[in-house]
Amino acid sequence: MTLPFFPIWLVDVVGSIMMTILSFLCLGVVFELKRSDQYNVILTYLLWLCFGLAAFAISRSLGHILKYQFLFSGREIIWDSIRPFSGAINTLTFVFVASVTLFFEHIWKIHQQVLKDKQDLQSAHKKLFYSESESRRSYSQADRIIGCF
Amino acid sequence: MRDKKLVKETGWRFIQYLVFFLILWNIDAFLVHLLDDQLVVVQVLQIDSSHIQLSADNGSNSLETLFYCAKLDHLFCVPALLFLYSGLRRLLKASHSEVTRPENQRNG
Repeated sequence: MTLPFFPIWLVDVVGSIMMTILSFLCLGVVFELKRSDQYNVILTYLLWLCFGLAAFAISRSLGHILKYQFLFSGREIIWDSIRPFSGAINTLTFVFVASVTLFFEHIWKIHQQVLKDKQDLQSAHKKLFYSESESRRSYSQADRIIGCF
Repeated sequence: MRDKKLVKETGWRFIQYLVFFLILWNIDAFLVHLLDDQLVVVQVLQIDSSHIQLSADNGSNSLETLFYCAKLDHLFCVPALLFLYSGLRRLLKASHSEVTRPENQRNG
């Protein structure tokens, strides 16, 4: 089956350029988000996710654009030797994105547990403070009563 | 995200769409690599600068068409990143409105 090559080339080249631009725009927005709330775990995750996606977009875009450069200039042999490395870098960046996601799933659980413990501690502190002031009040009342006798 | 009820916010819902498109892109990329590199059931021959010839081992036209469509994988990953960008923009907008809300309440 003979098919036009132009759609594949167009989608590949325009898509690669758009991916690179969008990944950097995402990084810009996530940096701004992180500046507004530095210790937010979810935002840290989004920052790392965007780093991974930007690395993926750059390596993949470079790979695809270089591919057409070599194919159209008749230097397929060079592309054949670069191809495995380009593919390996792409796969590694995606493994990084997946690892970050799995890692932050656990960090999120730990973070939630720490927040729950903090709330428990605060409520225990409140109860202790209340019972301490109650016992002080009772002691002073008892002192006054004893003083009357 | 559903567990944490994050998808109720538009920003996080858009990030959920990112994940959906990335899943589709992964399936697509897997299919292309499987047909092209692993099973080698579709051969691609560059006839000239504007045409390619696809030939499936079993001569199936549908397999060749599927391979041709699957080669257009940026149609999945560009929308994915667009959703991520829109989602992040909405989260930023929401965080700005959260910061300014108490001031407005004090002034109002």
